[in-house]
Amino acid sequence: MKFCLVTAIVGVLLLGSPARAAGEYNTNATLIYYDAVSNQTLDPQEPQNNSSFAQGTLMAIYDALVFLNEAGDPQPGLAMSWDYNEDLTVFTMRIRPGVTFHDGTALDAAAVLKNLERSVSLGNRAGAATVETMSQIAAMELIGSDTIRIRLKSPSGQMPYLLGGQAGMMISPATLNESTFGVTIKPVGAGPYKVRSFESNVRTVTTRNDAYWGGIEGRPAGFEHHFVPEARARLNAVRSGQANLALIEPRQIGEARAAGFAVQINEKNSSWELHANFTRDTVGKLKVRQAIMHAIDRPALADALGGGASRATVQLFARSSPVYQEDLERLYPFDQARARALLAEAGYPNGVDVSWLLLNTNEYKQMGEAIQAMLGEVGIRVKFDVVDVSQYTAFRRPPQRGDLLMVRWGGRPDPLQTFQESSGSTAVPWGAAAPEIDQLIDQARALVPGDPKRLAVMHRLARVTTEHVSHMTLMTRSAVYAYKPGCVSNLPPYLATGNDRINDTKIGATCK
Amino acid sequence: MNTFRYITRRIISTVPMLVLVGLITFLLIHITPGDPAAVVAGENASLQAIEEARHRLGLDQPFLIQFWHWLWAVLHGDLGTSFTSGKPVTELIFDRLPITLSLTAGATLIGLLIAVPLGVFAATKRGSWLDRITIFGTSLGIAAPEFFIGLLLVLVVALEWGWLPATGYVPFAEDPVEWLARLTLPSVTLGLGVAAELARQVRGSMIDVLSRDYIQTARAKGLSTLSIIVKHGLKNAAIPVVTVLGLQVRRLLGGTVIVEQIFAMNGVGSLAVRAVFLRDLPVLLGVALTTAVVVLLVNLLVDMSYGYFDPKVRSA
Repeated sequence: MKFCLVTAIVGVLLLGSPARAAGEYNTNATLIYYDAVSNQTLDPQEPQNNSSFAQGTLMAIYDALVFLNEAGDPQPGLAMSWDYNEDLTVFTMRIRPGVTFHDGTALDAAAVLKNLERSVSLGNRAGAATVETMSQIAAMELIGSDTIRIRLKSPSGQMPYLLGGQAGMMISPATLNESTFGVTIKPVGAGPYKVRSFESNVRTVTTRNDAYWGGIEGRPAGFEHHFVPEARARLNAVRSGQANLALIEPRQIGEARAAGFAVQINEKNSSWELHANFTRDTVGKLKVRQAIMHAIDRPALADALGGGASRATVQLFARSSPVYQEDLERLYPFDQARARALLAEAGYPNGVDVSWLLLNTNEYKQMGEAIQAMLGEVGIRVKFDVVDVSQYTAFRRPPQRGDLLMVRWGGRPDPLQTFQESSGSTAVPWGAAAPEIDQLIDQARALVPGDPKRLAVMHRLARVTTEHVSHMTLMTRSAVYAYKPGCVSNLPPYLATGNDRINDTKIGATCK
Repeated sequence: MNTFRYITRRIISTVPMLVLVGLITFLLIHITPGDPAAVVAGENASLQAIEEARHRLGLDQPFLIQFWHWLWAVLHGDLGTSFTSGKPVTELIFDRLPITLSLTAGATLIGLLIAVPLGVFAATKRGSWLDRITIFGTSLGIAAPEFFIGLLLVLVVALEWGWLPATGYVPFAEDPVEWLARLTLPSVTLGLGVAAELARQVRGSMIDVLSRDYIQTARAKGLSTLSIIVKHGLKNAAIPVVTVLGLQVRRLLGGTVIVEQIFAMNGVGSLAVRAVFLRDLPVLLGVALTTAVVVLLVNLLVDMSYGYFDPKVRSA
């Protein structure tokens, strides 16, 4: 049975209806955004751009084959529709007609094929998301000028999600003719903004693509992305008028509001979490991990360190995600007596020593020390092994260092990817916390987006991974923005990446 | 001809020093924890991808072989390619050098404009309450860290009064007025420390010079105070001042690292900071080498200026 998953929808509607009429926006102004994350290159397939937090500029330049809406659901993008064969081994996409790249080259099935062939040929040089996507492809063929057929090595319903991320971002084939990879790529996409200049790790300056297939209504004349690592400088830039939007740190919320600026907090599929090495005698025991969960006072942590932008949670998904389940939050209340009892049941009545591979930044150390004190109160004695950020791989890479590692999770386009990368035995070297996790991941892979069964499997996965403490989620990480009141709109939380869709943001009519 | 030979000899003598700078930097980076290959391979990279990146970057070779390859390329005018951005290091540094040089030149200018009149004034009014205020003020200037001065200036001048922008840099060719506006606060931040050091030096030198016999003779001949200070005092007091000024360049280049962060300027200082975090070995080596060259050139200029200020040095 061949079933069609998505029908054609007028593209402009996909980008969200503007909340206000176009006349209320200043379309001559330039949106200048000061961000904490940079782009080393503007090649979507390059490893540094694999970061979930580095997608903002890329989304402005390159449209992807699949558009992931605010909830992260696949919708038509450059591919107008797609379908699978019955056993999910053949994925066929019909490309939107009439779309051109910024250089005027037509975006047709041949252009898509060239992009995908290039990504396949990159192998391990590409970012992990691209490798993950391309490794599933066995062969590709053109069916006419507007259709491309992809044969998969094994059944997978994940392609619409995967092609909604950087793996599906399309570059002009004319550029691919001239260049190869990374810095040599000319950033010519089919997105709403054209690149005027780019300085690696400094700034990207773009102008509006007036021929954009999705329409330009209300869009500013340009979009500039500036990388400014110093949080104080980002807020100062908005306060003194060099930027009209800045990503700020939660601790700056009070300062920004006191200075009369609007603060917007977007809850994301992003969180702080602890990973445990299950091969260790101590944290390999479920009861020890459960004791850790009960010993951490998450609300206090979120209040003290989240600056009003974080929420205590045990899940990897934002409240607005369909995968989020309210009742899971009640699984691990702060209960020191219960934590001590669980430790005793695990064979550690006098407490237990654990090592923690702690990344050497203020943010990590602050969080780590607070949790160390909480765990110490129930007899879990934490010893830090402080390493440079670039050594985070030492946790998973032989010889594995540390019983625990804390990371900030940035979210993935597909909720299933989240489970695969955080809990599945294909990504976790010591295997899944429970055999059911891998079974559920396999089940979900065989289901297509939109299938109600898929969401049910996700819910089950969320429950099993939380009950087996596959990951110890602590609190949410939100994106916090500061801007002049009324000057920035259309910036809702976007769940598919660590970034929000800054490229859809509009500037108020009375603002510069 | 002698001057040319002197300069040539001095330039040649800097080569071993530059090699040593390179070797020490190379060594320091290698003993610092961190894995450039893991950074280059990107977030969530597989172990295989990390190992491939290590091989591609030549980081799987012995330390001395890596150093030799770098040195050989440098001797051929190639500072290498950034591990992370894939751009030539020379291009990265030259793109950002105008920002750092503008900042350094601005700070030096501000330092001189404040220090020379203040130091001369304090020297001529030695022991007065104005002299004491100068000494106190310069002590404060030397003690105050750049990040403190910078943040204070941003808070008051940019955010409270709104007189000048708080962040960013605009190239001179793009908008000269905006270039000046964006450069003023960071230059003042860096320049105040220079002014404090120099003012003390000018004061000390001028006190020494003004007590010399030839100054007394000039006074006895009826020359005006202004004429004595400008024609006889300043030039003779200049050698120690120029020496200190030369040393300030090294301090200024170090200071730009902090000031560029505060004012969100993407100069060589921010490039170096970023390279440290990303373990971008070629960029770090390139920045260290460029900085060393600038410092050595300034030292050479300082040494040559002695001949201008003191003919005895020239003849020697």
